[in-house]
Amino acid sequence: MKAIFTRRTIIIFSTALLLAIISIVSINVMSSSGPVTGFANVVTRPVRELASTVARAFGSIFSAIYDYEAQVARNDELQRRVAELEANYREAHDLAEENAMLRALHDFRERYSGYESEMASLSSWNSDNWSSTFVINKGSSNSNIRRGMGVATEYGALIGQVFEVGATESTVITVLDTKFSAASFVGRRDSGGEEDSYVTVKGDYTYLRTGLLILDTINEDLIVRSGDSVVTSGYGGVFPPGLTVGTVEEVFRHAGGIGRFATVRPNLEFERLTTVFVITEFENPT
Amino acid sequence: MIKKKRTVLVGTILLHTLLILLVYMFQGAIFPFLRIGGLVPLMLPVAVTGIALYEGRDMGGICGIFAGVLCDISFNQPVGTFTVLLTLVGLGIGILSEMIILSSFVTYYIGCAAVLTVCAFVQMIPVIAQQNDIPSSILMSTAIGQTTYSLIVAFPIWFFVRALGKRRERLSPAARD
Repeated sequence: MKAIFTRRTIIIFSTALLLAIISIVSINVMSSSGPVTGFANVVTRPVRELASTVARAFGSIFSAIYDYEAQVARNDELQRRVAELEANYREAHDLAEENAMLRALHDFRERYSGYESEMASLSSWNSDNWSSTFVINKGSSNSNIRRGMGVATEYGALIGQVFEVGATESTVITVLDTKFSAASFVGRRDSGGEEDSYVTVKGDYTYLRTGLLILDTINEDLIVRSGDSVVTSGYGGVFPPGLTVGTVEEVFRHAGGIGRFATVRPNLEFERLTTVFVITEFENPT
Repeated sequence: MIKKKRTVLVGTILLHTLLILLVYMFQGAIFPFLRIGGLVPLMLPVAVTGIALYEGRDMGGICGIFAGVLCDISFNQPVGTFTVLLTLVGLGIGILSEMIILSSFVTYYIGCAAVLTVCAFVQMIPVIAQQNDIPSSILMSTAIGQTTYSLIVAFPIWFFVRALGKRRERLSPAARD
């Protein structure tokens, strides 16, 4: 019978351990992913980019077939919602309310417009089921991108936040990831005071697979309804104000009945993202 | 004789490298666009399990390091967790296949199920650390879904690892022992 711990077994395991230790030390000392991860990323980049190109073409064919039943269900759902909206439309009070909300949102964006951004291409998506991240082709050596910067689409929809910056690549966590949170503004001011409309929007693992994030702990005085728009407030200085986060889908009460939260559907299709904008500078309203 | 052995070894390493790269391409770049129920299958741990089962601890361990680094990259995380985990998987399954278990379809599937379950629990830890109010049913459904989906894609991978194992047996029958 062969011995369990041969010299080669120990060498192989020590190599893996060494790579992991180098990586962990790099993260803690240099605040970057380290030389091992950096080297592996650079070496595998052509393979990933080639595969992504093939995958995109393949994915669109697959989704057309796979999504057929989902499209039928979505169509039924949309028809139901159209009926609901028509009923709402007749109510003058709601119309006025809606107008006020839109005006508030518009004012909000006008007031805090203007920020500097850096364009980047999406290299690859993460392939695990426990987080929502992707890699962009800009890093510390070829851009001004720094950890914590906001990432948005060309239409001003918030995608996420730069989580880790390598030499030539950076990892971005999306708004769905559990590590994401942002100070936001719900586009409705029924309760009077503008301050009451500020909430925190964050990623929640419970809703990750359904593509939703949540409005955490909504003030009891604040009226939040399905269809309300959520935009970044700019408070906290992490994200510029006025970026669209999404639309409120449903409002729930926390287990135990204390406090409410709402699910929010982002106003973008993550699968179709190819180019993103990293916001490198913006005017802070505070 | 030595030259022939070296040629066989180089060929074996090359073919396994190609297999791991192919599996990485599918896991890291193709399947994220082909999610079923929002899930992506784990293929690299499956490939390491198969290789270790048919090739033994040395090839299993080396492929474990390689696949582990690629796995960490495909999860957009620093090299570490899966590099160590898949090396241990390669060495562990390799040792078991050399000493106790047979290299067969059934043992391959049992090994894959065990390894995928361990992987799911390892992946769960940072999520729980980040957000501690996640219902356990949500975590379990992701773990079960991921394992099941991965076991489905384990089937085609078995043909490749078995073919490579047979090739090695044909060219140098005593190489594994």
